[in-house]
Amino acid sequence: MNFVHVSLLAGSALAILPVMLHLLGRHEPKRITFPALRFVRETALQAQRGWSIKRWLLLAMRILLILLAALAFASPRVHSAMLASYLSIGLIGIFAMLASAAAFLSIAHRHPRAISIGIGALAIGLWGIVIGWGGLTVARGTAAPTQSGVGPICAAIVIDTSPAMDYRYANVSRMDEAKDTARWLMDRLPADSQIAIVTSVQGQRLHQGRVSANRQLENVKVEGRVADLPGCIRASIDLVRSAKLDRREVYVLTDMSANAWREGPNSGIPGLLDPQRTDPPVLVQVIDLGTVKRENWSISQLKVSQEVVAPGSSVNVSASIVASEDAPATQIAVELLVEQRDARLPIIRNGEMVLPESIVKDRQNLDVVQGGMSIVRFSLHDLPEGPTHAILRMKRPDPLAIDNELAVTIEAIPQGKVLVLGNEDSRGNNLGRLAALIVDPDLKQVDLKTYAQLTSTDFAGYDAILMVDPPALSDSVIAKLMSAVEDGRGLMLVMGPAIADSRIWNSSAISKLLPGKVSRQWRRPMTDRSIYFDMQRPNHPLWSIFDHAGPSIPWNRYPVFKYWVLDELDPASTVILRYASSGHPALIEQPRGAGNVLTMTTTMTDVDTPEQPPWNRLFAADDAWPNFGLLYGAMRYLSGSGQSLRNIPVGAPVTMDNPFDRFPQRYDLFTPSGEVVRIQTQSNTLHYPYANELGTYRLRSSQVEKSGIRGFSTHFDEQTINLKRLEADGLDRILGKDQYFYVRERDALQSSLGQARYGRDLAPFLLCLLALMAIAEQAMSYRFYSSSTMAPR
Amino acid sequence: MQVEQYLKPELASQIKRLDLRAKMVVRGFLHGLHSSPYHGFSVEFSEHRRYSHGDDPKDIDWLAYAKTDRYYVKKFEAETNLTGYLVMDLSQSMDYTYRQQLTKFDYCICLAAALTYLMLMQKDAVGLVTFDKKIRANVPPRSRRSQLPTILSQLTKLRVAGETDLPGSLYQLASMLRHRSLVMLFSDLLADTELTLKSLRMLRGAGHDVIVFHVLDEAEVHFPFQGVVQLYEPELGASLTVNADEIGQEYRANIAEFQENLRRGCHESRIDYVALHTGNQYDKALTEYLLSRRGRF
Repeated sequence: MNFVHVSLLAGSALAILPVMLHLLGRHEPKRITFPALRFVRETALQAQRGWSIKRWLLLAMRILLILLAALAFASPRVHSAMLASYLSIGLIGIFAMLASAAAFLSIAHRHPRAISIGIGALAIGLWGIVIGWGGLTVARGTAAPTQSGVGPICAAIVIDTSPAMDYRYANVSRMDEAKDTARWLMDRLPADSQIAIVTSVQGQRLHQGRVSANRQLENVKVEGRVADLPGCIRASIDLVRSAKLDRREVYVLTDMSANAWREGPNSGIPGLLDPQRTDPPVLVQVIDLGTVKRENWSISQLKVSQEVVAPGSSVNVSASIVASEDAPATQIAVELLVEQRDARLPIIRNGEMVLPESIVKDRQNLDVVQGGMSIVRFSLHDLPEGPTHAILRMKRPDPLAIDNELAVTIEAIPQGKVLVLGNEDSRGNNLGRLAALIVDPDLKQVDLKTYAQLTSTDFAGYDAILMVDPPALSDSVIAKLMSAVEDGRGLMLVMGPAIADSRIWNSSAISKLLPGKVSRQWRRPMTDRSIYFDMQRPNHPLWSIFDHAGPSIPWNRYPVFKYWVLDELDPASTVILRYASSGHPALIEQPRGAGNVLTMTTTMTDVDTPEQPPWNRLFAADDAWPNFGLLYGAMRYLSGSGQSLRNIPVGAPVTMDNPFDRFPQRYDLFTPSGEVVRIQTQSNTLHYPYANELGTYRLRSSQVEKSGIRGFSTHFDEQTINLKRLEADGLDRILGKDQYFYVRERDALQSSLGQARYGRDLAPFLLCLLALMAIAEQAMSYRFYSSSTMAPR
Repeated sequence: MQVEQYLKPELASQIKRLDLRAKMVVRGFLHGLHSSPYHGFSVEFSEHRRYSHGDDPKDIDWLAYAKTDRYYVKKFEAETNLTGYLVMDLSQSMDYTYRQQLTKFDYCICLAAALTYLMLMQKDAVGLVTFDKKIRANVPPRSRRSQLPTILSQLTKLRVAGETDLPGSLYQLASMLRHRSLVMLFSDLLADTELTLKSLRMLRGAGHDVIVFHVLDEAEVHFPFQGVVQLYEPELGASLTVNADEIGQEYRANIAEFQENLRRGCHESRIDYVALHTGNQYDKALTEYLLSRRGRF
């Protein structure tokens, strides 16, 4: 607690006046001759003690009046978080005074002793609470903000950059409103204040003046991913606490969408703001810029059947139209716009990004019920080589425009050349041909060779090599294979019965291709169906062929009866599949130089015949689609055409394969907002970790020898556009009850600003109490010292 | 001392002389009767009084006995007129008023003067007795006209003294009265109620007709004080500081009970009890009393 006019506290010395008047001015009462005194005496003797007690009560009341007046005029202020405590203590204090007065009056009026003792005990108890609690509050409570209203402030302004901030109300977006409010706040900061503009995507730093802070504020924009407000607030608290200034404030400008506060319960902010802590106090104000009713339709949940395809392929694209709870049922038209191919674009011209023209390829009308969802589906046919950028756009305008369209990118890349090596098995099946048919049914991108032809084979023309059931190969052949892999090619080795003994595996040169040692061959009877693949890396790119359904593949329907057991795996290797029950590795990826080697420890093309039971039913089953998908995906992955996505959630890092022999090594990356970033290939891969904007990112190379365009798109996560407001008590749970201010109107903000900076003024409460005390004093003194003693009643 | 000097200036503007005031009161009373101006206190008067225990047998009128076969006392023709005694309390407490024009003592003197005049008009003998701790002055009853100035003169000379002994004085008075008389007591009766009633019963038991004019000050009845006051009792010299607001109601209840006790005690003994206070206009109060008394006979 502190005081605005501390000198006025000296006025409490005037409390001596009623004491002096009481003691010095105790004139004898008017003496009246009264013969009938005998009728007065009995009554008077009983009443006189009570009268004396009341006189002392009156004196106490007058002293209290002066003390209260001095206290009220000194304008005591307390920290806002402590106001409730002070008011509670004050209330108990009033009850304690009333109980004390009641106890004295009970004695004065000669009520039964039990009543007097009871009331007295209550009064003592209440005074004990007041003294104990009051002492603790004053001793340990947070001090009120400094009295000075002109000292500089260290202020952090947290701005919610979630997509929902693009919501327009009264033709003003919430983000514009937030910026306007931020400028208004900065204008009200005292000179020499330090300001930080804090968002989820920008690092926190304190500006020494408004100019640079304003500059940063101008660059704040709605991002494609949901902001982490609790994280920003926590960082802001740490930031302002690190400042040397006495006053520290954090303002949070948000539309109060619950999404932005989802990390709140674990943020630990209540502990940071706890007034009992010894850290410098930080005043947190949450400014609600959101609207209560939120009418919106969003297009989201993009699904693309294949994001990287061969030229001439067709792709299905679907998305969901989701209506908010406040959006009425309506019919919405959705268009598919496809961007025309132009190798010269995009470019920046006069500060604006010039893009190729987009034309409407398709259009559908959907009925969307209130709070419901409808799905729209489009198909793109005969895709040309290179990236195809498209947009799914709702034609119905709504207050939140940012989710009215969805960018889609599909890249058509010529399939990499694959070399399939395989011999005929003991039953005459050409295993290599079977595998090649799986990888490329048209055999356009596949060369099929036997192991005998390896010595004369040049691997330079191939992107990936598939070895089906290899025999023990010569050192020179293995060396050539190793060299090809380390140059960046992919190799898949499918182990089988051609090598019948584990010792041969380990002793021959082919062991150099394996990620570990072959310990033995695992065999199970055909009746045992407990061994099957168990997914270990569901997010591995080779599963992208399954439309992200890797974890849900029913491998238990394809039991394995024989496989090679690999031990002592290379620590750098990764197990993608294991065998259920035994836990042995089934599919292992081992990086080798610039390339990768995938090793499958059981066959993938074994045919079921009565004479010779198969090693597994991966290929022999009636519905062998997982085996096809696995082999196809693995070869796509190894040939570099399937290991990256083109449509990613906004904010996720982007990785695109970019083999040096097929693509340029340097690109200009044009972000959706028109910024240009230069990126360079590293290890045949393009990395871009900052895809925070929503829309299409276009890559254009200006290299003369290998000019080309590529690209990708970002889209919302399903839960990103959720306009549901944070529940009423949500902020209390996240920031701590009574540890922050919450305002909606600017007038309230003005008031809150004052309260926050200068604390809560107790003077109004004290003046009310003073008025009540004055009335009580007047009533009591009238009964004692009525001037109309001589007047007839 | 002249009677006029005794009168307070305010009162003198209305009544120049106490005797005139008394005459006015009585004449007003008589005017209201319209008939038998000699009724009033003498309604019990007869030429023969029936013999009662204690009368001297030699005073029996044997002729009347022969005619009526009843005993009558014949030697008391003089007593066919009433003998009244004005008994004035001289206690210090009587010299008190808080805010009225007349003290209790003055009020009683006015009453006594009026009654003196009235009785002398009816040829009744009137005497005056004063007392404090004992009987002090004694003007023997006479019915002649010169008795009025005598009594009035005596009344004007009266001075209140300190303490009083009302019961003792009444006992002493009873022993002094040789004939059945009308005893008119003027007092505030601020003494022990039981003893007072006992002494009054004794007077009544001796065959005297007793009228008690219980005169209190208006402040003693209404207790008009407010706030903290120090009350002083002159008779005992005691004082008490009180908050009048707190005790007023209880005090008034006490006084009412005090008067009611006296009224009830007197009624039981067939004693007329007239409660007055100095706020009452004594002439009206007296007239009303006399009318009510007449109505009873």
